[in-house]
Parts: sequence; C-alpha cells; structure tokens
Amino acid sequence: MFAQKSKRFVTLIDGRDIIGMTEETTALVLLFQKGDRKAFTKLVKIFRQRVYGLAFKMLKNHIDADEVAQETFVRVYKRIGQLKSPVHFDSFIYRIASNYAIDLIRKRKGRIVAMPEESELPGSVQLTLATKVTSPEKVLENKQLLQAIVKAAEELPPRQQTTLILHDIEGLSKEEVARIMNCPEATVRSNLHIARNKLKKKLAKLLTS
Amino acid sequence: MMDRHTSHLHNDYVDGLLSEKQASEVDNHADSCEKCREDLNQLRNLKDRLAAIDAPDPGLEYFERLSEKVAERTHSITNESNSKSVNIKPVSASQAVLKTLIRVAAAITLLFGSFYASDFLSGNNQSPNSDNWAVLEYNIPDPIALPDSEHQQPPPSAVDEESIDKEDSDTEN
Ligand SMILES: [Zn+2]
Repeated sequence: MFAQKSKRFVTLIDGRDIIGMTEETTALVLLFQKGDRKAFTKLVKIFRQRVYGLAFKMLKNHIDADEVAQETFVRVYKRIGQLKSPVHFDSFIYRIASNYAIDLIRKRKGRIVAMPEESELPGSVQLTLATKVTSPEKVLENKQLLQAIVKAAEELPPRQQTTLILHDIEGLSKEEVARIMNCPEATVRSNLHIARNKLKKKLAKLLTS
Repeated sequence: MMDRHTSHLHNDYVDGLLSEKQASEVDNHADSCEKCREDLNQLRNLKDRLAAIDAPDPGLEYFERLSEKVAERTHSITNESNSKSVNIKPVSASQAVLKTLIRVAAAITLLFGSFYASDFLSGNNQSPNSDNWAVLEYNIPDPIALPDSEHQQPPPSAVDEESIDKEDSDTEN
C-alpha cells in the first residue's frame, strides 16, 4: 500500500520483512557495549543517514540537522550501557535524536529566522517530494502542496509533529513510534489522528483533487 | 443522511486497521455520502504526500565528515555506564583541513497564509481526549530503558501556547 522507504534496511527472517535492526547490527551493538570502538564507528556509518534524515525532517535545515546528528551519536556513545535490549538499538537512537530535535524545535520557536529565498540558494538543501508528474504545472502544484504540508506540520505541537514524522513520513509502525516516544501505542494513534485531522482541515482545498 | 458518517473510522481505515466488517461499512457509506468520500480522499492524499517526503542527501563527503566529528568528540569520553570495559583507542581523525562542503541551511519557503478550513470533522471524530496528550498511565517497562534525562522539561512558558502538547508521556521512567 504505502511503500516503505527504500533507504531503510530490510532483511528477511523466516520469510518476514524485518525493517530496522539486522542480526549484524545487533551484533555490532553488543560489541560496542563491550567497548569495541570500531563497532561504534560502524554503527555511526550505518545510522548516520537515517539520523540526519529524521533530524532534517524535524528541523528543516541542514545546520540544525547536523547538530542533532552529531549530538545524537555522542549521546549514544555515552549511554550505550543503558540500552538493555540491543535489538532495539534503532529505537534507542531514534529516541535520542527526536528528543534532542524536539528540544531544538522548542528553542527555535518564537525566534524568527529569516529564511533566504530558495532561489538565492543554488544548491540549497530542502525537503523533497518524490513525484512522478512531468508537467510544469503539476510540478509547481506539488511543490506548493509540499510547502503547505510542511508549514502546517510545523504548527503542530512538537510531539504531534514528531509522531506524524515518524509514522507517516519515516514509515515506522505505531509500535516502533511508541517505543521511540516512550508512550503507549494508543497515544501514538490518538496523536497521529489529531495531527492528520488538523493538517487535513488546513489543507482541505489543496488536498482535494 | 442515509446512515451515520464514518469519519471517526477514516484514519484507521487508511492505516488498514479496520476489521473487514468495519471497512465495508466505511466503503458502503462512502458510496452514498459525498462528505465522507471526500474526507477519505483527502486523508489518502495527505498520507501519500507525507510518505513521499524525503530529506535531501547532503552527500557522502558530509557523512564522512560527520563520522570524523563524532569520532573526535567521543575520543576522550568514557562511556558513562560501562566505563570499566570501554576501551578507547586514539583516533587520528583530526585532519587539519576539512573542506566546508555543506551549503547553507535549507529554506522552506512558506507561501501559504490561509486555507479553507472546513468545519467538517471538527467535532465528532476525535478521540475523547481530543488534543490532549494521553492522560493514560503508562506502566509498561520501557524496552529501551533509556532515561530521558537529557530531555529536560522546558519551563511552562516555553511549551506550546495551546498547552495541547503536555509532555506527560515524556516524564515517566
Ligand atoms: Zn458521511
């Protein structure tokens, strides 16, 4: 139905798709917990793109995403001993990253940052909307819709925003989101519905086609 | 209206969480109710759009540099709770010249001021606790067992004005 993001790791165990942790990653976590620094380096390499991606989706700019990514790995390094269940290393790292990103969102709130016009940034990095359409009108329409979605999502309270990003953008299950956000699945579901309904209400006209 | 609106089921419907019976209830109702049909379309559209959002790829050079920075920053750190077994080896990551390769912050141009806001759904399709974070007790052991100690609570004034984002679920543990 909704394609999982291809960048996430998929492995086959007993014919089931397990997205996230592989046996190999779990083994690295165990080595890292025993103090193997090389294992940590490998884990950084495996997760750096995902952590950066999540941070970017939450903060929408490279500088903050970079800060979150760096700080996340430093905290992972410091706290790996607290992780009781190595198979949940991905949730552990996502939690650290999203908590730090939420803190940054709160700090940034109310502080108006002058965003340069997109056209002034030749290689600007920004969120993209995968699109198959080709006509210039459709491209513009998609772009406007993306901007509208991003703006509306930014107005959500941080944890609703995070729930929406983890579930609907990152494609994580409610169970995973609940683990990351340390709350019951019912809370994830409820906040997800609230967040979507708010967006739907704001974007009703644009979403109708 | 022929029968009850099904908007309260639409989120679970698009997530594939409804029973067959409930799903066909939604389908049948949508056949005859334009409002619910439109709501379902919007929700599907929104979900598809969200799923298609991606972060930019800052490139391998950036990620290599990120790894180096992390190596530098963790070089002298002793793992807090596992200090006895952490074996820190010297890292030769401090190459002097690191190109500044990353372009400036992204701009998300926010063009849209106002949208038509339909009142549909505003009343009857939200869960009982509406905008509030669940007031549920959460006593299930945290599998990650990570104290959110780094996640300090902001002063009340720093929290969202609407106070609809109560951090109840952050503070357990
Ligand atoms: Zn209806």
